[in-house]
Amino acid sequence: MSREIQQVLRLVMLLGKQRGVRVQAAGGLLVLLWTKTGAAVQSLNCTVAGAGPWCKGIKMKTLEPVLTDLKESMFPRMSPCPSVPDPEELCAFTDLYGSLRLLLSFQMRDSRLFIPEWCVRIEEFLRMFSLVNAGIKTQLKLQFSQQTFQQEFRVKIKSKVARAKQPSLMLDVTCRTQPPECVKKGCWCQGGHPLCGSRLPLSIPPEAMERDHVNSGATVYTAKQENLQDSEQELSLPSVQQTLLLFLFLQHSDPFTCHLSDSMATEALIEHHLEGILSNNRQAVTTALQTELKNALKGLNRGKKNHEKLRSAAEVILSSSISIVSCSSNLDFRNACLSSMKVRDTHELSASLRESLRRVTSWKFIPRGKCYPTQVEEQEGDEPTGREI
Amino acid sequence: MGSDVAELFPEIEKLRVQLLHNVEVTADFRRVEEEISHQEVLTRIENIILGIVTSLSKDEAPVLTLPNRSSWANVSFDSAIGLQMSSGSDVTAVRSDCASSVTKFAQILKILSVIYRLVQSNSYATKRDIYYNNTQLFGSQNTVDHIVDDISCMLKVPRRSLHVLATSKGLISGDLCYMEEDGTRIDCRSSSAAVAVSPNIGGIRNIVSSAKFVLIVEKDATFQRLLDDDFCSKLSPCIIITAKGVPDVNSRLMVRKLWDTLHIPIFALVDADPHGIEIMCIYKYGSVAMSFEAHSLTVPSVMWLGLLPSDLRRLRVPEDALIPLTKTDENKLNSLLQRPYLSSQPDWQKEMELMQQSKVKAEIQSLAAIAPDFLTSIYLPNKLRYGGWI
Repeated sequence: MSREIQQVLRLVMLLGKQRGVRVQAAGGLLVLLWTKTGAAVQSLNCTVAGAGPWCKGIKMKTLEPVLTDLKESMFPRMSPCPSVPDPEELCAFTDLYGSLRLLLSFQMRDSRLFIPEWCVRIEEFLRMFSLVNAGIKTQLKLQFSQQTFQQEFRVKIKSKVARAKQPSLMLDVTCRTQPPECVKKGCWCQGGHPLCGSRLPLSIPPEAMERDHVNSGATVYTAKQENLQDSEQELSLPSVQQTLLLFLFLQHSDPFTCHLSDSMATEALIEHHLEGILSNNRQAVTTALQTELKNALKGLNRGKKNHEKLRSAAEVILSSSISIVSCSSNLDFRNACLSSMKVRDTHELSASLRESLRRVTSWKFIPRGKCYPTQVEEQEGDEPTGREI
Repeated sequence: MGSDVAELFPEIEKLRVQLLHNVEVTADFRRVEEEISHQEVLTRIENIILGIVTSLSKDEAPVLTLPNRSSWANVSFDSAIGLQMSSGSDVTAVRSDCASSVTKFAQILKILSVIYRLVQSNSYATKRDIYYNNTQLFGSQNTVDHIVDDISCMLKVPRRSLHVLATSKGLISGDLCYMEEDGTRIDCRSSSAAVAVSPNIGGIRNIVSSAKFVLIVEKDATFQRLLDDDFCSKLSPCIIITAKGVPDVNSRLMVRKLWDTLHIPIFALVDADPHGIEIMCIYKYGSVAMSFEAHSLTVPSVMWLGLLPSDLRRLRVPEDALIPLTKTDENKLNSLLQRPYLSSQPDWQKEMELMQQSKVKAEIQSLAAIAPDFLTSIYLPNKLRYGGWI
């Protein structure tokens, strides 16, 4: 089923490219899966609905014949859907995102569908789709045995990434790592920071393609979350999970391909043979990835160095201060220091100063213009978006 | 045996009387050196530490504030003192929570703790000792040197009161005897060897001298030449001193001490080039970096004996001994002419303008082109005899 959903979305995206419309990647996508009430569960119905600018220009009247043409090659397991989706569900969707521009329903008759793993696969696919189409609000609804399971792939923080000679991407850069408790409010960047990588041409091994293709290439993007302390520090800092997402965008062109079915078949083929293609270009891909990882980790490494500097200097500051307090014969001065830190002796003073110095020098947040320091609740039309590059 | 300078060099004697008179008239308030007690030094350091502890008690990152010692905007000129740091001058904040400044913060604290112990135990250490005790923290001797001066400025305490000594660069020779703080007797009257300037000028006691003048010599080579030619015997009684170029603090303190104790004319013998003139100005008016201690370092009564740019023409120094001014020389000369203290020295201004016009400079050694012993046999004795200073 996930393959079918994937093919439908691939079709819609390719149609967008073919139309040459600079599509605004915003709107809603609903994937609704349901079984007929009361019937034995032997078939699964699926509706893919879309509304908003991302579907602009799609005409259902022209889409259906295309689907019919593609059915045999692209959707062999699909058959027309005898039932209609719940109108209430569709109403709720259109209330949010406007009138439907895309509505495709189909049925799958295959008992193997009803294994838990396919749910996970569909979910995973839609999550990936949402990551790179963060402007499109994606919902997945499952209705079985009068029970509804619903998931909305919420995007709290988006970042628009410009691409050379390509439409911009809207990436979901929401940081899902929670800051440690000791981090002050507003001192934690909630989002990731895309870094544009390089383009590199890929050669396709002959066995991977049925026909000649030209100009296949890949662009490497990384999205890193900054402002995180290294988890291997000697100080008693809680470890923080780092996340580095690597996006590999593939672009291919073939002057001999003009039909939609050819384009879809080529994309599917490239996906199928992706591992082989990457292996065939192992050295170039490895070099490109290493370069991007090095660039992405520059900030982190710099942060590590700075932290080490602060840590070693803190030891000197503490030992020098305590040395003076300890050997001072000025009672007023000693008492003032002890009472200031609310301790009884220089031993406690040392511990207390150490802790305080650690607090004021750790988790230094150096915001850049494109950081996201505050937790923002997603609001319609008012989401935090950054522009990169 | 040397002749009596007072008889053979009446101009020097006249100058000495005049200077003495000026010293009495001006009530000399600036020369009352503020003696900072040991306890006061310790208290000032304790105040810094208490400030740090107080900041940390409020969960605020401690910050040290240092007066900016490198900006001309922070100094003003007083003809009786020289260049001194203005009140309300610019400051630099050294933060403990910033990677770019935390190392300096730690270095300052470390040296403060060393100084605290030294003052408390009434012992001394050199800047070199401090550096070698923790080379990893400090990185270079220069860092220690700067921070010690920064601390001196921040606490408003002379460096000698911090019990941190610097290795002296300078040499001294002539009619002078004194006792070091540890009781060592120093006699500078050896004709062949000079004595190193003491690292602890503040501890010098029992100065005995009948010198009629002090001659500051810019370069070590010239100083050695004077020693070789037995200058101090020929023009006895006198004192010659060199810091081998840009003077260190100890050499400046020594010159100042000689002035405070003896009140005799102090002449400068420097190359006729912008660098030499600048060195002379440091002795006389002070430097921007040490302006916070101007009261104890400057000697505004220093007179320019030679080598004057006008001497080159007057003495017809051979042209091949003259050197064209470089672009750097010209820039330096322009900068000197803009200095606030030049306006009170019209004769110096004229000499510098002459150098600007002639576009040449000369070292003292150029006088050897006239005759090998011209400097010590003719030039200096005549200059001193006939009042050839400005």
